[in-house]
Amino acid sequence: MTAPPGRERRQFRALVRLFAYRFFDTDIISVRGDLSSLLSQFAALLAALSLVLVLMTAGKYAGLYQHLTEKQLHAAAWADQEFLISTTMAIIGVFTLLLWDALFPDRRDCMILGAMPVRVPAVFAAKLAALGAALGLAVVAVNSFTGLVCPFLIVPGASGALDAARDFGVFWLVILLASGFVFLLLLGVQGVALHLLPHDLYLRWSSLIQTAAFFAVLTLYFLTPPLANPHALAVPEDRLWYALVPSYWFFGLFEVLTGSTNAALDTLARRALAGVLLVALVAAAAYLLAYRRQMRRAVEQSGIAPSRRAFTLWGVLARVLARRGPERAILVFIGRTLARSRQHRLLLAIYAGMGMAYVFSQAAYVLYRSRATDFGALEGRAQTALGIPLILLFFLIVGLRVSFSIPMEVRANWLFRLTDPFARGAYLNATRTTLLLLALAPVVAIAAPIYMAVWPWPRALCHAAFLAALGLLIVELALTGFAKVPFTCSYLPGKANLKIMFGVYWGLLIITSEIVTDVEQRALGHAAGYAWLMGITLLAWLVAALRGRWARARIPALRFEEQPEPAVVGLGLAGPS
Amino acid sequence: MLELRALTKRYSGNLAVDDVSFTALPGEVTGYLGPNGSGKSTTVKMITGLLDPTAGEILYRGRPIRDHLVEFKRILGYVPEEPYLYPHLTGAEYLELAGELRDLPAATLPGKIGALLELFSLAGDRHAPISSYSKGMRQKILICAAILHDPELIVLDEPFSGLDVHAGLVLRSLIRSLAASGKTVLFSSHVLEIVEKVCHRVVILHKGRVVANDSIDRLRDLMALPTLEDIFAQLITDSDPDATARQIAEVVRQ
Repeated sequence: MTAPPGRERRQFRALVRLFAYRFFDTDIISVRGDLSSLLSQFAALLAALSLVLVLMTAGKYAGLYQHLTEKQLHAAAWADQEFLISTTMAIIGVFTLLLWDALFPDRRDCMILGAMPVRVPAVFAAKLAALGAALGLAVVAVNSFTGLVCPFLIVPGASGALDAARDFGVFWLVILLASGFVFLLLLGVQGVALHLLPHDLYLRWSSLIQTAAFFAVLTLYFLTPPLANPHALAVPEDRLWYALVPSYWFFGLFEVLTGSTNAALDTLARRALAGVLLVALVAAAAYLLAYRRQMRRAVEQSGIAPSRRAFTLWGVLARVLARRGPERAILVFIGRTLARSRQHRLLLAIYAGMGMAYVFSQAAYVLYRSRATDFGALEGRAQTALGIPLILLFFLIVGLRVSFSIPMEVRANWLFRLTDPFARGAYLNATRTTLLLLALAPVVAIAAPIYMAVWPWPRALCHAAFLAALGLLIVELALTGFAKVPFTCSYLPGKANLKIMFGVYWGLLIITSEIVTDVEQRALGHAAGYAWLMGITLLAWLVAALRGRWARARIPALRFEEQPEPAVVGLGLAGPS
Repeated sequence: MLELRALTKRYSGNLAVDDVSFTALPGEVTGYLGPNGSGKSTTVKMITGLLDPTAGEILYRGRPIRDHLVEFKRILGYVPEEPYLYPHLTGAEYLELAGELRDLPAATLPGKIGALLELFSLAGDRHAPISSYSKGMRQKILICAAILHDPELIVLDEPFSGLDVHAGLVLRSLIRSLAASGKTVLFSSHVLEIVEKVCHRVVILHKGRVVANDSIDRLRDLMALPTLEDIFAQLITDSDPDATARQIAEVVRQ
C-alpha cells in the first residue's frame, strides 16, 4: 500500500521541521515554538563574526594596494585566502560537532517514528534535508560579509567584471566545498564508527570521538603554522604541512581556479577535490548502510551505554576523599553523570574548547609570531606563558559550574529532596572536590612539568604553587551562593543574560589575567615579593572559604527549582501599618 | 502512627486536597483510594515532605513532621507514582546512591543491595543502565530503594505499576509482612482487587475530600455491597461507565 504523494510531502515537511527542532532541542536548551527566533540569533552571531573578519581583512588592503607591487600583493593575499577558508572550515567543524547526536536518526527518533506510518527512506531523506539546510545556513551566515567583500580584495591582479564574477564564484565554490568536506568527513567518521563498533561500544565511544574531534578541530585551526606564502611553498620541510592540513588544499584550489599556474598549488587543488570525493563516498556509504540497519538496531538496544565496571578511579577517589556517605554519594553521582551524560560532557567540552582556543592562539603567538629579537618580546612571551594555565583553569571551572546547573532527569531529583537534610553541607564539599579534581589538579599537573622543562625548576615550582593557590581561591569564589546538588535543579533558560554577561566576564578575565600575570612575573624574581604574593593569595582563599561557610549556614534549604525573576520587583518601601 | 489533620492544598486557587483527615496505624496497611485527579498523589507528596500543605498538619508519633523533618525523612520509605530514576546509572548504582545518601554503613550496603537485587530477580541486570530497564524493572528498583534503610513508615504510590505476576505476588506478601512487623504502611492505588486483599482499612478520596474512612469489612456492611469495587463505584462514579464507553466508541468511528 503506497501513501498518496500529498501525504508524503506533508510527512516530509513535518519530519524536516522535527529534525530541525531536534538540532537545537538538546535537553539543554528547549526552543519549542521559537525556532525562527533561535535561528535568526544564531545566524546573526555568525554574521557578526563575518563582519569582524571583513573589517580585519579589508582595512589593510587600502594601504597595501598603494605601496606593494602586484607580486608582493599576491603573496600578502595568500595568508588571507587561507585564513578565510580555514576559519569557515573550523566553524563548520564545531557546528557539525555540536549537532553530533543529531547527525543520524537516534533511538528516540526510531522509537517514536518507528510506530508511525512513515517510510524509513522518508525519515532519512528528511534528516539529510534538515542537515543540509542547517549546514547551508551556517555557511552562508559565516560568509555573509566576507563572501561579498573579500573575493574582490584577496585576488590581486583581477581586472574587469568577468574576473570579478569569476573570483566571486570561485570563492563561494571553494567555501562550499571546504565546508562540505569538513561536514562529510565528520559524518563519515561517525558513520564508520556506527557500523564498525558494536552498538554498546559505539554508544560509549561516540562522545569520546566527538570530544576528540572537537579538540582536533581547535588544535588544527590554531596551531597550524601560518605557511600560506610563496616562500614556505618552496621549502621542502613545510610541504608536509601542506600535504596534511586540509585548509591548505582548498587554498590551493582557490588559487588554481583564480588563475595560478604554480604546480605545487595544482597538487593541493587535486588533493582538495580528491578529499571531497573520498569523504562524500564514505559518508554516503555510511548513511545508506545506516538507513538499512540503524532503525532496527537503535530500537533493539538501549540508548545509554554503561561501563561494565563501576567508574573505578572516580569511585576510589570518592572513597578516599569523602568521609561521609552523603558526600561520597554526591561525589560519585557527579562523576558518573559527567562520564555518561553526553549533554554535560559536550557543554564541558565547549567551555574547555573556548579556553583551549584562547590558549592555542596565545601559544601560536609565542611559537610563530613573537620573535625574541623584538623589543619587549621576551617579557611578553613569559607573561603570555604565565597566563595560559590560568585562562584554561578559569574556563574549566566555569564549564563545570555551568554544567552542574543543567539537570539530569530533573524529575528524578525527588531522591535528593527526600534525603537532602542529611546531605546539607555534603553537597558543597562534593562539588568543591569535583572542581579541584577535574579543573585545578589536571591544569597544575600538566602545567608544572611543562614549565619545569622550559624554565629553571625553582621558578617553575613557584609558578605551579601560585597557580594552585590561585586555583583554590577561584574554586571558592565559583561556589559563592551555590545551593544545589549538581544536576538536580531545574534549569531556567535565559535567567542570566549570557550574551552580555559573557562579554563582561571575558573582558574581566583578560584584564585580571594580565594584572595577575604581571604581578606574578615581577614577584617571581624576588623571594620576599613572592612570599607576599603567596601570603595574600592564601589569605584571600581563607577569607573566601570562611565567607562561604558563613553563607552556607544561612541557606534555608537546597534549591531544586529555579524560579524566574518576578515581573514586578517590590521595593519593600511600605512600613508596618 | 501517621496522622493527617485537616490537610489542605491549593494550586493557584484550585483546591487539590480539601480538609483531609485520617490516621494510619502501625501494624496496618492503610489503603488510599480515589479516581484520577482526586488528590491522592498530592497528599502523598505532602506526607513525604516534597510539598508544603496550604493548611492543616501532618503528625508522626504525635509530632508535626515539619518540626523534625530530618528525623522523619530518615524513617520514611517512599515509592513514587512515576518511576523517575536516573537513566544513566545502573540499578545497583542507583541503590548505592540511595543508600549512601541515607548514610547507611558502607560495609554492609553492597551486600544488602546485592541480596535485594537477587530477590527481585534483577541480579542479571545490575550492570545495565536504568534507561534500558522495563517499567516493571524500574518499579522494582524503586521498591528496593524505599525499603533499603528498613524504614518505619512506608508510603507506596501505585507500587504494582508494571510489575509482572510473580513480582506482584511477592510485593503483596511483602507489604503484609512489613505491616506485620509493626511498620506503618500507606498504600495508594487504583487496583481495587489488590487493595481489598492487602489493606486493613481504606480511605477513599473524591474531588479532594475524604468520602469514606473505615475498615473494608465495615464499609461492606454499612453500604450493603459485596466488594470494594462496588463500594468505590457507588461513592465515586458520577456517570454510567458502559454509556461512556459507548460514546467513546462512537467518537472514534466519526
